[in-house]
Amino acid sequence: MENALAQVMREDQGVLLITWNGYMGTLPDPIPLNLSDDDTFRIAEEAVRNGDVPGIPADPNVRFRKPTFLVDQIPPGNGITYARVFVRNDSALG
Amino acid sequence: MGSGPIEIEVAFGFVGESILWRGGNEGCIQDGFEWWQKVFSQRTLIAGTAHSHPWNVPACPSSRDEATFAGWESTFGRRMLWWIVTLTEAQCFQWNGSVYAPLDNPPFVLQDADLLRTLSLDGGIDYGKCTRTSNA
Repeated sequence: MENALAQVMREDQGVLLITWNGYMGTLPDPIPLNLSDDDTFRIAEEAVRNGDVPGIPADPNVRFRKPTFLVDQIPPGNGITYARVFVRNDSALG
Repeated sequence: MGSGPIEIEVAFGFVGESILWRGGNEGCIQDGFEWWQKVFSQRTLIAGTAHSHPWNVPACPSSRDEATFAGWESTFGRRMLWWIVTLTEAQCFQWNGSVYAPLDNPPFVLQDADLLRTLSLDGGIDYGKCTRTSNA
């Protein structure tokens, strides 16, 4: 999935990876890298809610919000030629 | 090593065994992609995490702690166990439907509570002492 997406992506786009409910999935379409975190959350929520993320069963209760979740943009590197955008939980402790 | 006690976290398995360790600083443990990736990749083995508040204080989670507990549970798709270890207490918390509440009878003993304290007071992780673990 990710490699196929990489073939059609522009430099200002990335692959959106989402983790939810024990699963990780990749949005089938690339997303712009300049989206706000809130917009990225909205895209991820809508995709999971509608069952549009292969690998993640549809869930009407999905909710991504700070400070529980964050958007983590990982630039190309370590053999990966495209940017990855993770919507994932924040692991900080106080 | 650092000059004072630091917070340290260990992810543990279903009998309380230590699986992954990481260190923070004097007041917090920051988010990290590498840590997140390792915990997520071992999610089938991890029952929860324990972290130190290395002072003489009651064991209770901060609001930041509770947000992180909730995030991991949403990510894993299940409830987990959360230990907080101070210099004088070790307390396990679990979501009770309203709040993260202390458990009177946790299902197992946290095996490395003393080691968590020692490493916190030493100001860092000596992975040689963490013989059953890998690092993160």
